[in-house]
Amino acid sequence: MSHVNTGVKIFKKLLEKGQMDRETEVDLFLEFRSPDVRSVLAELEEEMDFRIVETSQTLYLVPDSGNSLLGFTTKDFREWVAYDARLVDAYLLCYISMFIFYLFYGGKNRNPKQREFLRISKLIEELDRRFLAALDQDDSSGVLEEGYAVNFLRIAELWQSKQGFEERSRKTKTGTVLNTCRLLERENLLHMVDEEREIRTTKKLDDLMLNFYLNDSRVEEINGLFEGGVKADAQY
Amino acid sequence: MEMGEREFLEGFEKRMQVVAAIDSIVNRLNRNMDVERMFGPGQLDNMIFSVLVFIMERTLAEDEECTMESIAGFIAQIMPYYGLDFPGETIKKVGDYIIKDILQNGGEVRYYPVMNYEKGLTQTRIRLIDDKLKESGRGYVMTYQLTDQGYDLLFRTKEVEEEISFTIEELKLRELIKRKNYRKAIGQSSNLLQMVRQKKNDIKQFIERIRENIYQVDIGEFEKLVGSTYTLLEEEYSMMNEIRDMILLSEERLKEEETTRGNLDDQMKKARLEIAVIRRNINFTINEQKELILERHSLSRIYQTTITDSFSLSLAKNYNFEQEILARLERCNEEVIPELWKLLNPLFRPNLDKRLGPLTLFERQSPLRQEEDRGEGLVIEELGEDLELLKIKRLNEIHRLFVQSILEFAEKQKGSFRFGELFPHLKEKEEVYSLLMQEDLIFQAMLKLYELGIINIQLWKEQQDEVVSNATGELDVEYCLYLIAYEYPDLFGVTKIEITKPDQAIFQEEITFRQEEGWFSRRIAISDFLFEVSFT
Repeated sequence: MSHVNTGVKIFKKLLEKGQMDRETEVDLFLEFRSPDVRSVLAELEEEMDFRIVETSQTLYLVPDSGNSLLGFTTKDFREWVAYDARLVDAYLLCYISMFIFYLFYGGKNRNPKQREFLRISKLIEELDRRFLAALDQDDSSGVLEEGYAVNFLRIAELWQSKQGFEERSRKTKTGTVLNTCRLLERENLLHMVDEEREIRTTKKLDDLMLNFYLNDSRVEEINGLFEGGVKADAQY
Repeated sequence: MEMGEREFLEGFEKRMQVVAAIDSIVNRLNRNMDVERMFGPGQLDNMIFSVLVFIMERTLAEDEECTMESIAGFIAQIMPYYGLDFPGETIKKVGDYIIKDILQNGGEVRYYPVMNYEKGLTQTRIRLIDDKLKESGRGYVMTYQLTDQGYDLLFRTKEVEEEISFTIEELKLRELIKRKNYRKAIGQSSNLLQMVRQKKNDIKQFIERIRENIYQVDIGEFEKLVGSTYTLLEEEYSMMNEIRDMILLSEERLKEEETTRGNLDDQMKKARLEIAVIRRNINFTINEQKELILERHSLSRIYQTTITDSFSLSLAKNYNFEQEILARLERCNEEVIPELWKLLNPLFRPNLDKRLGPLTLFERQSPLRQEEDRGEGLVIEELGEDLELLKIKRLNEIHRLFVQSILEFAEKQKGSFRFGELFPHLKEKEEVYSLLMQEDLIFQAMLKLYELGIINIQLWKEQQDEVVSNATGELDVEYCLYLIAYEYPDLFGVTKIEITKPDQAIFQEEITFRQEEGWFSRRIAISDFLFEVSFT
């Protein structure tokens, strides 16, 4: 098999599942280390806006942030909440996702992973605290130089307006959090256990966080996103 | 400080590690006072340690998996000793509290400062139990086992220091068999089995720790485990063979005695049974040891590969997640919000099916939305995209009301009717009427129904499969039926409605409406359509 064939074969495997494990694809995994195959894949990475993240046991296909061909769009996120969901719901979904990652990987140690599991009730408490802090600070506005964005205060209000823990509809806090977790579970980033009362990270999330997502070299890309520098290629 | 002067402080950290482990239980964080109040002073401490011992017993002596159910079962068994009696649900809650909140510290990593007089104060991670997620037919099952620290703590609180005890146990066993004290020897042999299983668990856990996160693994620990444990095991392996030989010899002697005497007295029969048990335990132990020795190289290999792979990782620096992502999400400008999917994009699976799959060809076609001007400082609910969605939602709701009104009227009429008859019925329902009159929606919807010609409810019921949400705001009868059926599952008993224009009859109506300050009126004329209705 030529290097191009091997490279494309690896790419196809990666497209199928988003990852390729050493355990099931021993030969291809070894081929990946050949410089010729790597250079074929590097061209594909360049042309199709993705990168391959390599860990000791698994290869992952990671779409570039703005890649809506291989990745997701706001519309997808919004539709995950509900067919009639608004952008504000997608914003909240994104914030809760990032907050979950922060609670797991926000440690200051060399290993940033600071917890093994997270109870849904604890997550809701922490979100309450965070949103309340934002709303409180808004009341005493002008105290800090850089305050919260108006839109963030709107999602904080949206959060606070949701009912407490009992009901599981998406109009409650529990329902909203569970909906977010289910999306992350569908993407193989979280496991929901103990009758959906607890979440745990998957090996994929650990791998991607520690080997790629949290890497200092991504700061510029993140800056670009928040400063509007990275233009969306196709949002809809 | 010169250690020469303070030799008594050598290895002090080992003492403190025990203190740290006990501290994690006695000075537990995450206290839930509702649960704590159910117990008297010290009762819960006793119970937590008992649970730890239970986990050890279950995983080592019985070689069974320890689940939350088995822990709850154990707690229920020991409750009476404390003079307590709780219902099953409370016991489950107590078990959950002991395992998750206390022994696992609510999932959060717990550290304790331990002084090493050579290296200085170090933060030692405390973790007494470990859990494992297993996929079963009914979802995920969590099993629990002790960590090295957990075993260490339990052994130090009762058994002598682990490695010495292993050798002592063997010596004791050999001596006991020599002296034909089989009853005690049974106990000793099962202790041996427990210990070898513990070592096996150590190795498994160590491999998992390497795979999970190489940073949690200390090179010293690795060398200690690979070097000393395996050498020890190999020695023990030969020693165990010796013991087995001795057992065989004892059995032979018993046999000889049986042949010489013709039969065995009760005491000798008991001895024979006991020897059989010992032999079984010893065989188990030897088999388990064999497995461990065979796995020796795989542990070294896994460790070395992982450490090589993670070398570059250790050089990488992580950014501050809270500062770079959370804080910026909280302060981001409005125009960035539609771009936030980019934060999650790299973590999600490739979404190729959705983009390139054949379904996209059949997706509902909706007109491209024009970019709307957004005023500065608009709050998010008023974003153009949201307004568009809200408009579609409103239209869908009006259409639902219209179709529902037609079905209601059909039921009321118990037969066919004309649009001219339906209209006054709509007018009676003020709220529905005012909505339908907005932008002449009623007439647009009516023309759409005429274009369709037939609403075959029976067929819809039979073919009803996945519901596609209406993305365009145009009248979509199937979507309306789906919504109506939620509240009125029998759809007013109607099976089919045919909409025709049998003649040239015209329905005319004078419509009055208000625009800003003034009232206006206009006359509207539309064919007087016929609704032919079939019922079940």
